[in-house]
Amino acid sequence: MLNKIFAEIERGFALWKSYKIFLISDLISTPFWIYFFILAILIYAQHLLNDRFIMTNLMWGLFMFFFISSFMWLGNSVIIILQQGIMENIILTNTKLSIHIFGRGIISILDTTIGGIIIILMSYFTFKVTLYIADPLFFIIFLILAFLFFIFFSTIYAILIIAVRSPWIITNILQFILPFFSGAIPIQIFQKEIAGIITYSPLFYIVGPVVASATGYYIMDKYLLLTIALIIVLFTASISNYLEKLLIKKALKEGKFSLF
Amino acid sequence: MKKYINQFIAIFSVEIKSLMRQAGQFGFVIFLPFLFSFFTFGIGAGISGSISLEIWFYQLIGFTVLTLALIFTESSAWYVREGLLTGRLEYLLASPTHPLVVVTATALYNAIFALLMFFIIGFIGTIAVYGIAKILNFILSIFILVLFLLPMLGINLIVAGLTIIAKEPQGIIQPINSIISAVSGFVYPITLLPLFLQILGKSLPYYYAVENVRITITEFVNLLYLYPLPLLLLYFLSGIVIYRFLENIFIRKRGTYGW
Repeated sequence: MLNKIFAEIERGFALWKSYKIFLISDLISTPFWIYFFILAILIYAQHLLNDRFIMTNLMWGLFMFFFISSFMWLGNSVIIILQQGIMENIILTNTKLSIHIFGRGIISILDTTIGGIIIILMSYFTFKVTLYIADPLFFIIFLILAFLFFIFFSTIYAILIIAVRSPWIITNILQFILPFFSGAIPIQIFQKEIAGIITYSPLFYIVGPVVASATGYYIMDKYLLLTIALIIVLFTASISNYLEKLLIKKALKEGKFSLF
Repeated sequence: MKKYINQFIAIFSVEIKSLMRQAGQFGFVIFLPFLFSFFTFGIGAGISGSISLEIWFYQLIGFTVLTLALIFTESSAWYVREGLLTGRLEYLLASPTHPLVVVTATALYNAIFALLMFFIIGFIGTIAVYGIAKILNFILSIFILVLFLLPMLGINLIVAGLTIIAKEPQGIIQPINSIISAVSGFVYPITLLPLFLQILGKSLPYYYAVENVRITITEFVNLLYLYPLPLLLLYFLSGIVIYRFLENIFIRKRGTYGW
């Protein structure tokens, strides 16, 4: 099991290194996308551009937006794995789909790290946000939990859309909707009614704590948040595991990769 | 002349057939500006606590022209790339079809696609926010937009030329798209940007396209705002020169792509 995980991580690194042009292109384009997203939202409340607290929250929101988006595309990439015939090899080597996704998740996390550093530095220099992380230990813990959660979430997402003809359409839409309902943009900057709705989303207890630990503004006890996040990760892992078994079973029986 | 017309019709009809096969994609492209404008509207309204339909309309038109601009920036690059992968480009270059005929035919197809998209989205948005009072202004704005498609086509050709060198368009298109999107004032006034980005924005045709379109809809056409247009046509001319230069050096003389 460990050997397979390390093999997938190594493969992830190898893939990442072979796409140098994308790395350079990410380095150039990320700062411009930050300007675009922040100003596209703050055109509705331009006075907030001078509010350091709001801008710091928005900066972490953008960081998590990139994080979620890259995992959504990771789930989407499974369709390509299927089209290229790699899926059959994964089954033949008795490797779990979630472990395979884990390897590609390394690319996502490296991209998010590089993009994240650019976001933070860019926001610091142009919007004068606060740079330090308020609760570094819990920030790392919540970030690892978010990483694990989104690995399983991507697996579930991939299994559900595996037979869809144009999955990129769904991914494109969800990558905008999910961060909104997950507390990526911290709920304290929203009106109370909207903030109330967002707290009903399970994703809020995965993404929200990452932003909260970075800004130091927790809406509830952080240990309670940690417990809820752990339960959600375990729950998602078990659903992912169940659906994966179901998919493989159906594929071996009917010869096609689809739950439906 | 008849030969060129036949070549033109052949390429144009292939593109139209390809569009017919991907009707869902066209529907999604129309949906995109609504999705983005409602997304920022939702967050903006949630933060500010007030609803501004004027700003939503400002952004809807902005996102529409942005989508259109991005299609115009990258379409030829993908045309070159897909031609490279499928081997179609070799046939096209070996055939007596003049490259300018190919460019004009695909540009016309892209222009029809873009204007149809702009018409549908803009019509819905104008009716929703201003009622029928501004419909004539909106129709006039389509003509204004047409004027700015030529300089955009020039940038399209430059990007296509660069794809011949780099082979993989994504690495080139992504930074160019992000720069165009951020500095051209599609969904916010460029006065919110630092001065050097404002200057960059004003040196590109997109800023003038989106500003003129919006002003024409909400106020009326102002010829004074069209003053940079003759200068922007230089983009079109440089596009043709650069593309032809790179095509000659890399494809026709060396017979290879890239460095």
